[in-house]
Amino acid sequence: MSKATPAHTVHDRYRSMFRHLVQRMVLVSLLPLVAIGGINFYIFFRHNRAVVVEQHANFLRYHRESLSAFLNNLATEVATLAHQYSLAELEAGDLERAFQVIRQQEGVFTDVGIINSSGQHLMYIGPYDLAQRNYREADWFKQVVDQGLFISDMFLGFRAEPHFVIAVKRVEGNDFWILRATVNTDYFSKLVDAVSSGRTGETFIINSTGVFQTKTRFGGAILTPSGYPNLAFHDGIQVHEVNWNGRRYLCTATWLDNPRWLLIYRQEFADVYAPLWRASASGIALFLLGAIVATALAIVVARRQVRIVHKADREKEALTQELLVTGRTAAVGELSAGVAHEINNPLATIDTLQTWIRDLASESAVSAEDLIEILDSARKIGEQVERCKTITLGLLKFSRRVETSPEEIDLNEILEELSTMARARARVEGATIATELGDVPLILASPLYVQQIVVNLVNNALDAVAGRPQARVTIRSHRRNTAVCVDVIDNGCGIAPDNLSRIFTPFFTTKPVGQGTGLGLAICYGLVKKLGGTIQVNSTLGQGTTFSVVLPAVPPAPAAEGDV
Amino acid sequence: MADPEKSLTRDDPGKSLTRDAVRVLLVDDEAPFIDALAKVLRRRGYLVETNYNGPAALARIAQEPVDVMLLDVKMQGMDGLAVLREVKRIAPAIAVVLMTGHLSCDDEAAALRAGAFAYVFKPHPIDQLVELIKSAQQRPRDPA
Repeated sequence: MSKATPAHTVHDRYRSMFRHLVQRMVLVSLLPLVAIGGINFYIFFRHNRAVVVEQHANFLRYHRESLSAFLNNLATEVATLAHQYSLAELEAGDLERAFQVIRQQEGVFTDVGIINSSGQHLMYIGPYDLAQRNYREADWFKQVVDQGLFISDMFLGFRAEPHFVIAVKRVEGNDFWILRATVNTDYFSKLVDAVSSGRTGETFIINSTGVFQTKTRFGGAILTPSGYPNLAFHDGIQVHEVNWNGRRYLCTATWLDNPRWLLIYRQEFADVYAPLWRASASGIALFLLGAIVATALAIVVARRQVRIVHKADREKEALTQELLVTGRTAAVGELSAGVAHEINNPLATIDTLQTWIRDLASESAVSAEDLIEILDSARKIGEQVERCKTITLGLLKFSRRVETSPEEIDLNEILEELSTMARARARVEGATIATELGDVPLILASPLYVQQIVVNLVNNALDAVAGRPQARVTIRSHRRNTAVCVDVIDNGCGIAPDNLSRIFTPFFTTKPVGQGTGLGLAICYGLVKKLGGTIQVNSTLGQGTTFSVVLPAVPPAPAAEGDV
Repeated sequence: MADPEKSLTRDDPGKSLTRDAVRVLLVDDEAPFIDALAKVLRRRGYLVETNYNGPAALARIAQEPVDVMLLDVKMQGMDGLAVLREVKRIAPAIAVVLMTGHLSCDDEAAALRAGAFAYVFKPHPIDQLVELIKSAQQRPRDPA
């Protein structure tokens, strides 16, 4: 019948206690770890980035110097050749010899040619068929005529392959001619990208309009636009973070002087920070290990803690149970002090009446009048027996309440039983017990607990009114919203305000030593809490006290659930 | 219906017929008990009166004393011990036998200290009670 499953609720309580303990312990132990780890990582990250940028910048600075020197050397070489020989000498075979020497030594130049002032190729040594070409309209031709020495950007030209040239103007008499050398594109690209770091690190050059001048290994053919956004000229080295095809790169860039090319070293972020991640991985692993150990420890500690609490709870429960039994014995004993009196009085009457009958019957002749007396006495004996029966039945009902598990009970029924017993004691004490039982809903509670609560209150009330005029204890029940309220009202001595706050404290008593345990109200309080109710006290010294116990009523059951 | 002469003769044949019958006052709020007891005692020759509470009994003895008083301890209003003390004050010659259905030794000691002749527990056999009344009436009197 009882729908409550306390075992489950209790189990859930310990589970949630366990969960909370573990959560808190893990949180407490990991939070500093996470904080320290995070701060360390951030500092490490910042430091690492600075180191990487410095490395890249140093490399680029060095690389720019060497590339500038290289291009300078080439230009000097071409210029020297142009000024060392006359056109006639070169044409006679010196160019070919000189070029062979240069090419064998360096492998830098692809071809070399001499162009006259009208742009006509006079002489060409190289793999392409360019001997008859006229360069009058070529940009580089105009530039070299103008400047004397010119290093071009990459362009396709007549050979339709990307290349760049170094051209020198030589004035001879009233005319001039131009010595032009083509730099080996592959050689130059390799030279530019000779040094790299990591998996994605590469060096390349773009011109002032952002067009690739060298090959790249990871996207970007020569003469295609690089998309590099920071083309404004600057001195020294600049560092940018640039997105290319959805990847993020750390770019270090510096301008060359001649030609005005931008030398760029780029490396993917992920690659740049790979060593950092590798270093962090061990940290993270350590953290995870710590987390696992902390969690395991937390579980062990929490389990032990919960077990201790559980054990303490069980012990407390056992102790409470013991206390309940003791308290009940005491309370019932106190209340049934009146029972002896209530039985002995009718017994005395019965004894007297039977003596009276014997006296009358022992006459030699029983008169009609005596016979009526005898019958009347017999009837009175019957009345007294009935009186005794009421008391013993009441006692029986009263002490039969032993059920501690909750069931649906009619509070008034318990109050009726109890007041029968209470009246017996009250008569002895010279007090009266009044009951005002209202229409109250059923409550879901242990009958024993409810009985014990009220018995304690009534006993206290009878103690409070003892020896006072018009001593009266009222037991009242009424409905209060969805709850049931029991008031035990007395017109006794009242409770001193100083004591009011202590009355529910175990072992607090104002009774003489040996007469009160100080447990009655403490037990009441515990039981009321156990039943999910509240207990209140209202007292005026010298005028009386009212204890009000409010217990939750049984919630209206769904129609399907009938009585069992 | 009480016939003192007859009762005296039957109860105490050795006693002088000229002697006054013993006056007994029964005080108890348990009416059926003292009503029945009164009948039994009257038939045995006692002059019996009943009162159902302490103040009425005190008013009665203030008018005219009795020889023996059977007094219940636990009564509504004024209890037996209080009545006893008052009786001892206004009429110390009265022998008071306290009766109780309640089992309390504290009360017994207090009653004897207060001057009760005896303290008995209900139900007390009637014949013994009659004996007790007799010895109470014959006890050496306090100088009144």
